[in-house]
Amino acid sequence: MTDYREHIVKSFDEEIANVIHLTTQMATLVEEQYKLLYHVVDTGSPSTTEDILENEPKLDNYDAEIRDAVITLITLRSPVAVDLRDILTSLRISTDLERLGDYAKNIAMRVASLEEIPETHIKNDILRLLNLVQVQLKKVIDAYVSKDIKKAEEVLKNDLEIDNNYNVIYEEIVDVIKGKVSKLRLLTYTKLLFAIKTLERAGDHIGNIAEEIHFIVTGEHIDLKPDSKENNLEDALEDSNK
Amino acid sequence: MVENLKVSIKNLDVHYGDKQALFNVNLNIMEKEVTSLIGPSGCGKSTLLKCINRMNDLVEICKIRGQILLDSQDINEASQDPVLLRMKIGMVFQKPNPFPKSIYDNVAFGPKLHGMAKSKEELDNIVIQSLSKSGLYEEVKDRLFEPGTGLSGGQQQRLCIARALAVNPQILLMDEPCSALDPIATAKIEDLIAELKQQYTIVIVTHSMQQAARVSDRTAYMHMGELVETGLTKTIFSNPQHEKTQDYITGRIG
Repeated sequence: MTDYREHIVKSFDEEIANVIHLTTQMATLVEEQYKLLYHVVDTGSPSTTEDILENEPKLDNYDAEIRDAVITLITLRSPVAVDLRDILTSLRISTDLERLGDYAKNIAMRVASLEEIPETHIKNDILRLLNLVQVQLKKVIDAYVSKDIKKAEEVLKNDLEIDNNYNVIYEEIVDVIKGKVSKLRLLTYTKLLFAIKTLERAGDHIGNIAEEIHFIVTGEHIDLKPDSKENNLEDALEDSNK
Repeated sequence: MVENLKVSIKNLDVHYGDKQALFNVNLNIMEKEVTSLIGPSGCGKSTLLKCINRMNDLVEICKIRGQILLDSQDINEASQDPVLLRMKIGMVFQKPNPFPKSIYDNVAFGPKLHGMAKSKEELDNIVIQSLSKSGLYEEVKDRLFEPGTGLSGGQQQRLCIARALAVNPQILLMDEPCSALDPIATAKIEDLIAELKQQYTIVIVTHSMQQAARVSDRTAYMHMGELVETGLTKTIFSNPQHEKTQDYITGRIG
């Protein structure tokens, strides 16, 4: 929740605002992609998958636009301190957003056949996992817009829930595969395994964005070891908040 | 006791007549490091710099309270000779100010004054070494007896640095040494600063944020006569702790 004064050079403010605006717009489009994805998973609607595919190049454009704007800013303004953190972070966040967009597209193309599987609990669990990702995404975008470090920390803590849900669904699918499954079904289940793994990865990228927000505000990196997230997070947050 | 401490400034107040220029400044300057003083015009950077070699002695209305310790010795004590002090603490100014003498005599002036050379050979050696240290010797070796004022601005500034080095100082004070120079001459001086800090303790006042970031190990930010924040240059420019520092270095209205 930082609120900085204006720069003496007004166009500098406008240029930074533009980079942040582009990043926010890109994030909003990614949010939209996951909304569409939820619809695809829920209904199998092919036209919604089409919508997702159509949006995909727009994300690439945002990514390129942000990159160019950041390069220009660094060249012309030699930003330091919070300004530098703000715009370098946009560059990294847009990379995470671009990846999140890719994931939405990949999952949409894989799960169109979810309708075919008889285990409704698996479908419901996947929808719940997807919903968790959506909630996290919305929260991290809010945190970015308001530079709310507490919210960013919540996002990091909640990632564990995505991981846990992923593990549960993974076991459920593996249990099904262990039984008698037709070859065609086997292919569907394999796709689902990939899909949930991708959602779990999406959670990690949302976590990356939360870490970047933390860096913008504090200038400190939260250092997390991927394997011991649970134990490490509290310590890392405590360290960086000193 | 801080390790490598060269100059310790303690509770320094400076008044020019009724006007107070420095307010309770505390600053440690480390040996063989570059310390940069930054801040808006009139914040007291140059005043602080001039206190370190007692240049303010020459200003009659200037009153100084507090302590400046050089190697734990108070430089303002009655027993301290300001001329000998300035031998230990050389100074380079904003505009190159060579004497209207030959290149050789510019550099030889200090050593002659202090009787540092017993023979012509010794003096020659001091001149050549000082010019070499300031990176000027190769450029001027064939015209040592031509006027120093005939050199380019960047060369004149390096001549002034050679002149300062000739009396074998421990500390070099530089008051915006590059502000009158083009980018190439500036780059040469900055390169020289990096080399000189192997041997000397350097304090530089600069208006160029980028220069402070490039050349110094530590940075002190001053505002309206107060020292707002001091720290490793890397930290000051990436994550300053003070809002005033941040406003200044990022180009916001301070």
